[in-house]
Formats: sequence, C-alpha cells, structure tokens
Amino acid sequence: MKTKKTIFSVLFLLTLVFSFMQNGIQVFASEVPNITTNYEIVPGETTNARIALENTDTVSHTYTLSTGQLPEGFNGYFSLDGNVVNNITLDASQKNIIDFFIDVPLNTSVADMSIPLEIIRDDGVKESLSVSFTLNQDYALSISSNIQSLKAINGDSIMLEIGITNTGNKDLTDLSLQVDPPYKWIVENVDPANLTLKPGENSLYKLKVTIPSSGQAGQYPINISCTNSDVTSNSISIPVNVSTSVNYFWWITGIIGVLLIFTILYFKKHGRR
Amino acid sequence: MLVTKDLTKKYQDFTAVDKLNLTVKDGAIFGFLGHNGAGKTTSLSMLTTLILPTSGSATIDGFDVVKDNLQVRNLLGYLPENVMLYGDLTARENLQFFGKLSKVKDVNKNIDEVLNMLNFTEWTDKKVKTFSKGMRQRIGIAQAILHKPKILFLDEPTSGLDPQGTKDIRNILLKINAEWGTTIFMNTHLLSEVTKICTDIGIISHGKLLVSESLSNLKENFKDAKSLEEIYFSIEGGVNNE
Amino acid sequence: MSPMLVVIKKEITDALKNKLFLIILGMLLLLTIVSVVLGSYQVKVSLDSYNQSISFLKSLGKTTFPAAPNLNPLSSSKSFVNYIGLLGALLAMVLGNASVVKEKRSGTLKLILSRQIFRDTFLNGKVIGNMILLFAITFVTSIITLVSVVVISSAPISSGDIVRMFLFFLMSFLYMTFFLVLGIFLAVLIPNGNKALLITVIIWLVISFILPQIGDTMDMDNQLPGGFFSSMGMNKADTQKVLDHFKFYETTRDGIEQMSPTKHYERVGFALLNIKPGFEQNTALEVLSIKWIDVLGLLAPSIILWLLAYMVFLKRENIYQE
Repeated sequence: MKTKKTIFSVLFLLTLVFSFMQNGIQVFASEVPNITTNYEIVPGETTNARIALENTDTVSHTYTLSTGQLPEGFNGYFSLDGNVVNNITLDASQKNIIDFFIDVPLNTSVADMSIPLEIIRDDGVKESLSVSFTLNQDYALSISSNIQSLKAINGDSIMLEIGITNTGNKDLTDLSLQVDPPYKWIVENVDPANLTLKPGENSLYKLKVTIPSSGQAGQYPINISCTNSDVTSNSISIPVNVSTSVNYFWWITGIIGVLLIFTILYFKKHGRR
Repeated sequence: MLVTKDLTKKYQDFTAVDKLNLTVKDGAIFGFLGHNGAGKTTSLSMLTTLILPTSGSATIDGFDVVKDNLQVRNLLGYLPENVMLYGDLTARENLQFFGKLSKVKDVNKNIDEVLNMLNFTEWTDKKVKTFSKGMRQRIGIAQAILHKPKILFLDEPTSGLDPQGTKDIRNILLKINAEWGTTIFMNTHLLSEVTKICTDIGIISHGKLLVSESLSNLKENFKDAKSLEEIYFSIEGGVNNE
Repeated sequence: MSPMLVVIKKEITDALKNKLFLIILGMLLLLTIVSVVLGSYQVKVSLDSYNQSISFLKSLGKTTFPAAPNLNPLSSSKSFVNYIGLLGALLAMVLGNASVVKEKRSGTLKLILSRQIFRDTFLNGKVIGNMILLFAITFVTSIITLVSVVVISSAPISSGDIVRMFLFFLMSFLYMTFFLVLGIFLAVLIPNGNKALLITVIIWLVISFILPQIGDTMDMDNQLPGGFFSSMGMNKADTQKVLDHFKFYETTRDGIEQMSPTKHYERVGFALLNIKPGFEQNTALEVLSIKWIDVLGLLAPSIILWLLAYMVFLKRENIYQE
C-alpha cells in the first residue's frame, strides 16, 4: 500500500513537472543565488529586484515583460545589461537574469506591497511571478516651508526658514541643508550647520541668501533639500520675484530732470532761435 | 527799414565785424561791398538771424534780430551764396516746401505768380539737379520772394553767372523793387552791378564799415573819380594805407 | 500746415528716396521674412511630430499621453533681435545722420533757419519724421511675423502672445530711436558729416559689441568652456564662497553692461518672447513692469541725447558749414 502511494506521488509530481516543462517557460527566483522574491524599499530610492528567465522550449521565443498596477508615485521598469527593455528574446534552453527596478517616491504611505510581474511568450503562453516589497521606514526625512513666494530687490538679502521633520524610525545625525540658489546668489549663515533629529522630532533651519546687485529682474527658484549619509529629504522650491531697485529709477529720472532744467535755462539765456 | 548799432561779431581773438553802424531806408537797393573776408557774409548772417551778434544790435522794421527773431524772419527773404536747393525735387516741389515753411497761403498760386515774374514757368516740373547755375539762382530768388518779404538779403547773387545770367538777375531785382517796393540788401564785389542797380552802398574792410552813403552822394563826394572802382579803391586803399 | 509738420512730411518723403536707406531696409525685411519663416517652420515641425506621436499612441489604445512640448511660437522672432541690433541700428544711424547732413550739403539749412521755424522745432520735425518711419518699419515687420507664425507654424497663439509680440516690436522701435537720435546729435555736433557718421558707427560698435563683450568677459564663469567653476571642480557652495569676495567686481561688471542699450534691448526682448525662462506665467505688461529698468535703459539715453542735441543746435554758429 505504502509503495503504491509513493509510486503515485512520484508519478503525479513527474506529471506536474512534465506539464510545466511543456509550457516552455521557467520563471524562478529561489534556485539562483542573490535572487529573492522579497525586497526592502526605501522612500526616495530605487530598489533592484532580480528575476531569472529560462526558455525550456526547443525553439527561440520572445517574451514580453509587464507589471501589474503599481501604487501611486511608484515607477517600475525592466532592465537587461543596463538597457531598459520591455521584451527579451531567448534561444532554446537559454537562461537570463533580468533586473526589475522600482522607483519609490519620497512620500508614500505604502508599507508593504506585492507586485505581480507577467511574462507573456510570443505564442501567448503566460507566466507570472509576484515580488514583494517592504518599506524600510528607518530613515525618512521631510522638509517644508510656509513661504509661497518671496519678493526682493537686487542687492537685498532674504531670510528663509525651513522646517525639517524626521519621519523615519531611527535617529538622523549630521543632517545638513543643501541649498541650490540661482547663479551668483550667495547663501550665508545656515543655522544650524548640522542637525541631529530623533524619530518624529522636528526643527527649523534659518538661512540668509544674498541676491547680487547685478542680478536681473525676474522670478528665480531656490531649491532646498536636506541630507545625510543615510537619507535625502524631498526637495522644495521657493520662487523669489526679484525686482530692480527703484533707486535706479530716481537716479535716471533725476539726471533727465536736471538736464531738462538746464536745457530750459539754456534756452532762456540764449533765447529761442 | 534796417538799422544796426555797433553790431559786432567776434570769434575768439578774431573780430569779423567791428561796430557796424548802418541804416538802410525802405525801398532802397543797398549794395554791400568789400574784399574777400571783409565781413560781408558775417554781417548778412547776423541780419538774417542765422548767427548771434557778440554785441550791438540790429533792427528790421523795428524788430530786434535777436529778441524778435521770428518776426524778423517773417519780414525777410534770403538767398545765400551758392545755394543748391534739393536736387532730387522739382522746382515746384522745392518752392512748395519753402513756401509752406514760410506759412504762405495758397502756395501754388504764389509759386505760379513768382515763376511767371522770373520767366521760369517752362522748367517748373524739372528736377533742380538738371538746372544750370543761372537757373538755380533764379529758383533761389523765387524761394526768397515767395512770401513777398519786405527786405531781401542776397549774398553774391550774380557770382559765377555769365553776362546774360547777370543781366537777368539784375532785371529781376529791379522788378521786385519796383513792383513790390521790396528793400534789397545785396553783398557783392561786382562794382559794375552796383552802379547799375544800387541806390545806396556801403563799403566794409577788415570788419569795419568805411562808408555808407547813397550812390549819388558818393559820386558827388568823389567828383574826380571816373568810376565807382576808383572811388572804391580810394576809400579802401586810403584806409589800408593808414 | 505748421512748420514742424512740413519738416516731418519732407523727412518721410526724403527717406523713401534715399538709396542707402532703401538698401538697408530691403536687407532687414528680407532677413526678417527668412528668419521668421524658418522659425515658424521649426515650430510647425515640432508640433507635427507631437501630433503624430499622439495619433500613434491613440492607435495603440493608450489613453494617457505625454504633455505637449513648450513650443513658444514667439521664439521664431529670436533672430530679429540680432537683425535689429545690426541692421536696424545701422538704418536708424543712416537716417539720423542724413537728415541733418543733407541740409548742410545742399545749403538748404540756411534757407530753412532763416524762415519762421525755431531750431528746436526743426529738430523735432527731423526726429519725429524719422521716428514715424522707424515705427512704420517695425509695424510692418511685426505684421509679417504675426502672419508667418499663425499661418506657417499653426501653433496656437493666444491674445497674450500677440500683445507680447507687439510690445517686443515696440521695444525694437525704441532701440532704433536711440540710434536715430544719436545719429542726429552727432551730425549736429560735428561739422563734417562723414566724420559724424563714422563716430556714430564707432559708438554703435562699442555699445552693441564691446560693452556687452566686456561684461561677458569679466564674468568669471565665462573664462573657460563649460564654466570656470565647474572646470576647477568647484561645487556650488565653493563657487559661492569665491563670488562672495568679488561683489564690487561684479557690480562694476554689471555697470559696464548696463551702459549698453543693446543689452537692455536683448534682456527685455528675450523676456517678452519667452526665450529667457521665468516669465511664462506673466502677462506682457507684467513683464514690462518687471523689466522696467531695461525699458528705461532704452528711453533715457534717447531723451538725454535729444536734449543735448537741442542745446548744441541752438548754440552752434557754424552749423551751416560742412
């Protein structure tokens, strides 16, 4: 009886394996080193998942790669040898490792997700594989500012206050503000120079930016983010509307006015001819 | 009509006109004689308000040439030496422009009248650049008299003209003087023309007025002189020898 | 008719008979037409490519499409800034110089000034008559540009864009007016007409090419291709530290650039035509109010030169001599 059960199990397994082999696709993740179906993602970073694809058929096939619906803000794409691909051609018995990249937005409420990956062979045969992603909330940082826009005059200095919050689960040390001002603007007195924040803690950066007197009038953005070795925050852009100092207007009008008066007096002295 | 009092023009160290005292009566034809560089053109330029006197004064019909310059210009007509006019315009177009500038009413009618007087109607619609010197002088006079001025200033009006041209200009001036009573102030060094046309003359030398008299008086004073040329040289030469 | 109107009318008819003026005008109009047609065609090609991509995506059953490219039909006038800087300025200088010199050479200046017209009125007539000509030229080129952009590029052009375009051409007119007044001023100041024109051209070269070039050359970051600071391997923070020590230098450099009406014309023109980024959201009048210093940089020199021309023309005794 026991022998009969064993024979039937082996036969069943063999049938399963045989029928699977008849489909011609092998998609597996666990038998190849460094390939797993469970990945950790960090907000603001790109995670690289790997899948192995083998053509077990006797002829060459082209396989179309696609993902299921991704959560909002996420972007996923396949890559082979550094090139983004939507399909791959494999010869008979050829095996290849494909990278699946997923860009994670900085602000996401998705903690865990499972993304179905679909591989469709050129003759319609389908295979799917689910890859799981778990959000690593250890290091997360957010900055904000109450300033919608600023008005300033050439040569002026403006003061900015940037709020910063540690939205992760671990302490963040050596945080420094990265300020990308327009060309020739000078960033002065970033206070504090470095910051340490515990989880949930927030603080305020104060900085002074000086606009060159030679700057042209117009709207210029100051792009700011905060970073340390573990994490980079979101980037905010503060538009500054720069106008030319009205002193120039008075100077020029004054010169014209003086010249006009001089001309009138000149005419009075020499008579209108 | 025209009175100058110590009219002077200095250019830095050089005195072009030195205390000119002149009176020209209404209706006179005044010939202003002098050698080259004597100060004739400078005097004329001051009287026609083109340059400012350094000192002294001049009035035309009671209007000061400096303070009342616009009124003075209303009274005068001016023909400078070697005027070219606008070569690309026709005679009529040139006269229309100057007539309108002089605020002549019914300018075309005036143009026809003046050109008729100057026997120039045949070339009215020809471009000025095709004209001979004599013809240009006639158009020059036409623009000067278009607004029927009370006094006409002419700078060497017969300079460079052939005898026929000279005669034509002379006749025109006599006609204007006779028909309209226009006073004529003429710079010239053609003594023959002065004799034929002028009623009064003035002689200037090195900026100074040597004499200003009616022609008849002058001839009376220099009875022994056989010609105006002799009178001229005796006056001018006498001063230069002093 | 007032004497000034007589002078204005004559000025316009004289210019239309001036061969040099007509040649330069012909070149300017030809270059304008060619550049605006080419520019409009480029916009059309971009628009057609985008529309084709959309059609293809629709045929694949896609419902989300990439955003339309920022076509900026006004940018087809970009080359016009260079042509006005070169030919437009030359045209205006020739007009200005000729308007005074021709009167001296023909001996008509004496005839005019011995008539019932004040010298300042005569000068006003010259300036205004030539300004009318320049305005007509910029108006015609603006119509040519607008028609070309609408007909050839087929790009959507809003009423705001049309206002911007006309204001740009107004700035072109103000720029040429400066050179007109410069030409007249120097012709009044300098007895020799040819010398006056030569000096006018030299000043134009200095203003249009040398001063902006000095400004660009003095800009440290322009010393090496790719940027001086980038080539030195300096990041933005280090760049800023260096620039912090050169504030006076920067002010001087900017001062030299500000002396050039060409630079002001370029700045306000590029802002109006949306070639310089940052003004896309502003209305045309807002752009002018932001760039008021550049508008003033075009107006003020013209007014100053005009007043100086009055004084020189009033005083000069040998104005009749060439």
